[in-house]
Amino acid sequence: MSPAWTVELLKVRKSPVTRTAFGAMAAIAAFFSVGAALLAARGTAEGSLAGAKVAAMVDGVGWSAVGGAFGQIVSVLWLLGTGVVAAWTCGREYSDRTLGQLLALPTPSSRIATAKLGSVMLASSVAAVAGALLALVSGVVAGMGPPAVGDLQTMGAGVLAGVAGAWLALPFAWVGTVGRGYLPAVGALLGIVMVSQVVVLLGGGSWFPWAVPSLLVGAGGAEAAADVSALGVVLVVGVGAAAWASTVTTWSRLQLV
Amino acid sequence: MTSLEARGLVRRFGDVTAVDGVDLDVVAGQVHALVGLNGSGKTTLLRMLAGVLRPDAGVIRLTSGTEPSGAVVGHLIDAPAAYPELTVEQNLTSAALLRAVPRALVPHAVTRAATALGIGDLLTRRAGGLSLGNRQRLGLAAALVHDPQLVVLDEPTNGLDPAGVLAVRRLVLERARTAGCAILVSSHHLDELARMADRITVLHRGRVVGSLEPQTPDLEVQLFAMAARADGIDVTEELSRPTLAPKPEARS
Repeated sequence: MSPAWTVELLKVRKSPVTRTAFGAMAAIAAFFSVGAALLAARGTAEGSLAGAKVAAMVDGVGWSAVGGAFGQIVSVLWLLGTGVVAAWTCGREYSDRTLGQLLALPTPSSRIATAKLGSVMLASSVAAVAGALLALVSGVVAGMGPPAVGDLQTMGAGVLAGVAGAWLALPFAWVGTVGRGYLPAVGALLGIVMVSQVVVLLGGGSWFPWAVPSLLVGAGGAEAAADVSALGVVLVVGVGAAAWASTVTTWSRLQLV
Repeated sequence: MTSLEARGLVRRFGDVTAVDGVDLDVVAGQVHALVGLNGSGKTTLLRMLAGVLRPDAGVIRLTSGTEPSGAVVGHLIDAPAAYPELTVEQNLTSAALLRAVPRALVPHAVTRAATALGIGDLLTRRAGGLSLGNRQRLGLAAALVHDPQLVVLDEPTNGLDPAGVLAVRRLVLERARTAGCAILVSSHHLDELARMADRITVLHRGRVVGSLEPQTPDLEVQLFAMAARADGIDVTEELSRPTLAPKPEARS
């Protein structure tokens, strides 16, 4: 493993910021999805008010409801959580005034940036898989029985939605770099989440990249999922790739001004 | 043995010229001190010489023929790189790896650098729990972990107690005298610089305005006078005036 990857993976593994963020994301996704399914079942069976409300938000009962709820929460939570971590990872040396120690080294700063982004994506993806496994274990413990193959596929789609959300969070690493700190990037992240809501309400969700993952896993219903265009999927891939390339390029030109 | 030559260095920030045509030589085996009042351009010049800031004009070259790069230059500029979540050992290991120390040699390099800075007993401590002075020692150890030929240090004794100041002085002198390093250091502690520098260059408003002899008295007065003369202010009268009333003679 290259020095840059060794160092950045070590920082991701040891940092309380990343451990807390990704641990909390996995736990919230698991317990929210199983809890939502249990509440929905109670609402259907016992006329519970809370259950009735949740039942309106998730499709079906049992593992079907778990898979649907998992995808919906992961697609949003991974964008938010990974966005904060990515911004902090690329902006922390500015905020701590230690950037100079990462410049003019035998290890090019572009490689350090690549390792930073890769480490965040890797940790975020592992957290998505961990969240799915935790949801499956929690569901079995809660008495749902073993999931069917189709339910596992739905959970898998949820994991992919999480990875897509993390990929769409990479622009905030770039904002953290050009903004010389993570706070501007956190502001931009909150802005994108709000803009996404407005764009979906105005009917542009099928192509707006930050809305596409949640629509694909059913946040807007089956009809909205079917309406997602190929352009929207291409834009999801393109936005993350462009953010990765821009961040690495910006880092390769960094100076301690 | 590597020396550094800088010729005609210029760096502007908008309308402000922070460094304006500076020539500087940092000779192998010598400690070269850079002094000046606040805003004189010291840090900007050090950043360019360390390679973390590009000059608008001028050249920087090493006499060894190699490009100034992190493989041969060690620097501590701004805050020390002490990641709070990592231990002292992990911080130094990271610094060594990023500075291209071969993996097999990293443990030895880490131990040697930590011992030289007097933090060998703190290797398992998290950097977040270190005092300001020990974080500075960690930053210095990280700057020197790869045994560089040229060392650039900006205010290296910041936050250090007297024992730390002494350790840094001994280390700087050992690196210059024994290892033949070229060392460039800036500080406002002129008395400390007088104890370790071979040459002192005075920078004022981005230009070199003279040099001081390290062994002469009243370096602060000389520095102030040099800066004032560069601004066209005649301070001869003020400097010749006694600062304290003469002590009364003891009764016999």
